[in-house]
Amino acid sequence: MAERLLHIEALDAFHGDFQALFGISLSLAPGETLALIGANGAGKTSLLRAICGLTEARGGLLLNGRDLAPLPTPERACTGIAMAPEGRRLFPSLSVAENLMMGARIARPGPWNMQSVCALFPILAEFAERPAGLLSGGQQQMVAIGRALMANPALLLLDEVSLGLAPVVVDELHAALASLRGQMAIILVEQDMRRALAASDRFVCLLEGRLVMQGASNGADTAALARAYFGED
Amino acid sequence: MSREHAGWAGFALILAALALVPFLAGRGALSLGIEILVIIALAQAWNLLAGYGGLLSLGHHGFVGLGGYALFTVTRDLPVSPYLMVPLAALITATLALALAPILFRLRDVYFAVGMWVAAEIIRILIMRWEFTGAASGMPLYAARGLDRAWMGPITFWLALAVAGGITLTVALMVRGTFGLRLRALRDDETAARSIGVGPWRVRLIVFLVSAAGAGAAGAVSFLSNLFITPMAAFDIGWTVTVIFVTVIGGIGRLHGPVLGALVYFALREWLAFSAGWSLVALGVTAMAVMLFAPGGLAGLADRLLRRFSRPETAP
Amino acid sequence: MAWIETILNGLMLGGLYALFGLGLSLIFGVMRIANIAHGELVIAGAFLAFTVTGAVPIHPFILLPVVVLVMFGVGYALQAGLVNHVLGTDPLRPLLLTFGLSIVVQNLLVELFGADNRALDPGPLRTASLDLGPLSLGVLPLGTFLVALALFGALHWALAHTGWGRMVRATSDDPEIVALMGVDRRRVFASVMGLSAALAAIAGMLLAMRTSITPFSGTERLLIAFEVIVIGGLGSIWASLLGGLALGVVHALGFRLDPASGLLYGHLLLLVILLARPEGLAGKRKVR
Repeated sequence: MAERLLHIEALDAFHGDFQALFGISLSLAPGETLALIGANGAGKTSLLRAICGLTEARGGLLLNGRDLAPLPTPERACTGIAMAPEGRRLFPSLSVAENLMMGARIARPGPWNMQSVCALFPILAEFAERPAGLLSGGQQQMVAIGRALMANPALLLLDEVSLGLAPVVVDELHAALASLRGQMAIILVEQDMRRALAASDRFVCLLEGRLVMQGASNGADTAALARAYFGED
Repeated sequence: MSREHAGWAGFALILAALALVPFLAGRGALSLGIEILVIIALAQAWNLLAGYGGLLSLGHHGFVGLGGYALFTVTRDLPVSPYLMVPLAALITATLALALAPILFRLRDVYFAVGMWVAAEIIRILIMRWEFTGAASGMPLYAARGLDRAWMGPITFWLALAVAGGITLTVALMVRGTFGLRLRALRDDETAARSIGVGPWRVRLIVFLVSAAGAGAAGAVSFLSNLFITPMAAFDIGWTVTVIFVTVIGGIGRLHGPVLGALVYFALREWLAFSAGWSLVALGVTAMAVMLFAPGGLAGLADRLLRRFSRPETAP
Repeated sequence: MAWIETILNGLMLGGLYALFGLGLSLIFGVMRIANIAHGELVIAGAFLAFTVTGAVPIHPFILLPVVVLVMFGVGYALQAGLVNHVLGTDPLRPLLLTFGLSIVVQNLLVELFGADNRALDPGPLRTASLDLGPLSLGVLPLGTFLVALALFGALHWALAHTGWGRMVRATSDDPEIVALMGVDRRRVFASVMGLSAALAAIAGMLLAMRTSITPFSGTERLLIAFEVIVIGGLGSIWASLLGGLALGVVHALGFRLDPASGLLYGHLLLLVILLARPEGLAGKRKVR
């Protein structure tokens, strides 16, 4: 078994008094893509935020064997975690180029820089000086992913990158994401089950904050997965 | 007797006990008593607007001065008793607040606070130029000539007690029942409150008018006691400063906050009487400490302690 | 001709006003809070200058960097030690904290320095004037105006073209997500507060050169700073310049027309703006 990049053990996460995750355990190897599947409110975003330190969490959280719990978010980011958050969360008053530069603040050595990111998403070069808030949804999503890539992360977290986008745009995004596979560990949150399985090596399904099913994406029992997704059984 | 009835009974008892003070206390003590009651009244009025209504005002001294000047100007030539003028001054102040509301209510948070401050400044400057009220030098209470000297102190004290008790009672009644719920809903989440039909303007306006009236009455009583009014004293921003400290230290948004805060304020003032400057520094540091460590103030701390002690007796 | 001179004087006064407002608008733009102690920071800067000039007899202009650096540190410490701990969902807490701070600073200054009037002596500059044809402009007011303009320009450049500026703008846009880029927002806030205090100190020293001040002078300057931001708007730092200039001109004209009015016409301008254009002269209209 490949050495674990990310190891999560019995993780609970909280929004104030409300518990969003119950005893989540999973691991990820370097270069592996994990699909995080589940309905709205299942806790997918909470899990990603807990990894980043944006949401309060208790339990085992190790990156390359290093305990992340005592680290606040800025320091966790420096260990090689980057995220394209739910809702994109670009800096609207900054230009596209400036958004990307912000992503490069804690860049580790690696192949991703302004040129290579713009090669992946040519539209970014075209709109480099435009305020990010003025771009369309799909274009903003490319900026968000590009911004995360600029850090040359070991672990890339992608939260619902296709949400609210036209199918053509989603196809474009997923084609770009396919070229990233294997270069870094990726956790991909997707509501579309088929796309999620097609784009990943393994999957994990959450229901109401609990991990209810996991396995290899290739040849997964989609019927069983659908039942787990909706909580039937 | 239920806890609530005990509360009302206690309140009535305290008022009755305090009403006896003019028969027991000398002139100096009576003056101090009036001052304390005026501050409590003013703090309750400010607390209503800020703690319950969520609108922080940095210009309540405008209402104080207005109440005082209303009393002095109306009684100057008209045969109205200054004592009767106290509630009327409150009414006049509330009317002006009504005129200001359309402008001020467009503002939020710090903008509202500063807007109130600017409004108070404008009123101060206008009155300072008005010859009728003696311009910058101020004027005496002309109507005092017709009053019985011996009874002025006690009656003013009872008026102060009535104002302080009255505004406390008003706040207590307002925050119970449906109005209080609407108020709290607005404070917590305006968008959600609006969506269930809570009209923000009407609720805030009522709170604003009551707060202004209370401050006006307090101002009227205070300057009645002084027998003289000047623009500098009437519109001194120190009124607002004192009252904010009193409410914050006592516990913003709580009914007994202003009372506890007033006690602390006057204790500090007496203790550090040698230096007005250091007593203000002490007040400021206390207020900062409250905001940092105990935002609910003394009343909040007291409530927490009481809850801890009463827990075993409370039945679900 | 006298009217033109009045307007020019108003513009130069407005430069100083804009400087009062700049620090406040920075904090408001980045942290969404109001620093009620801002006026006291202005005056504290001046008093610090008094102390240093008293100790070492050097011309105030040379002292400027020292006072500015110290006040930057004071602002940084205030934010890191106090204000950062009360930032959250309740807007009243930081407001009331800084309110308490303003009273503490004001009265500490009274206890330490007394309540007398004091001024910084810029030497011959105080009364020097420049003759431009039929007009006569005071060198000190003109110099103050140019310093203010230069500071606005420098801040604009720093925000637009440096890594620090980018970081500040990003933190202002989204203080939560900016942490994912390794930014500790508490440090950003502290540096912005430090900068605000430094700007306040410069404004205080310039103020003390043209007029005498007491520890109580901060209250009036705070009100002016607020009026500058409201009149100008919160869109950009240049909005504060516009607000300051407008207020300065109104004060100058008002004083000439009606000497006993004090700051009344400025207050009326504020009311007019609030009624007619609440987002300010150069502000962005907020969606309710």
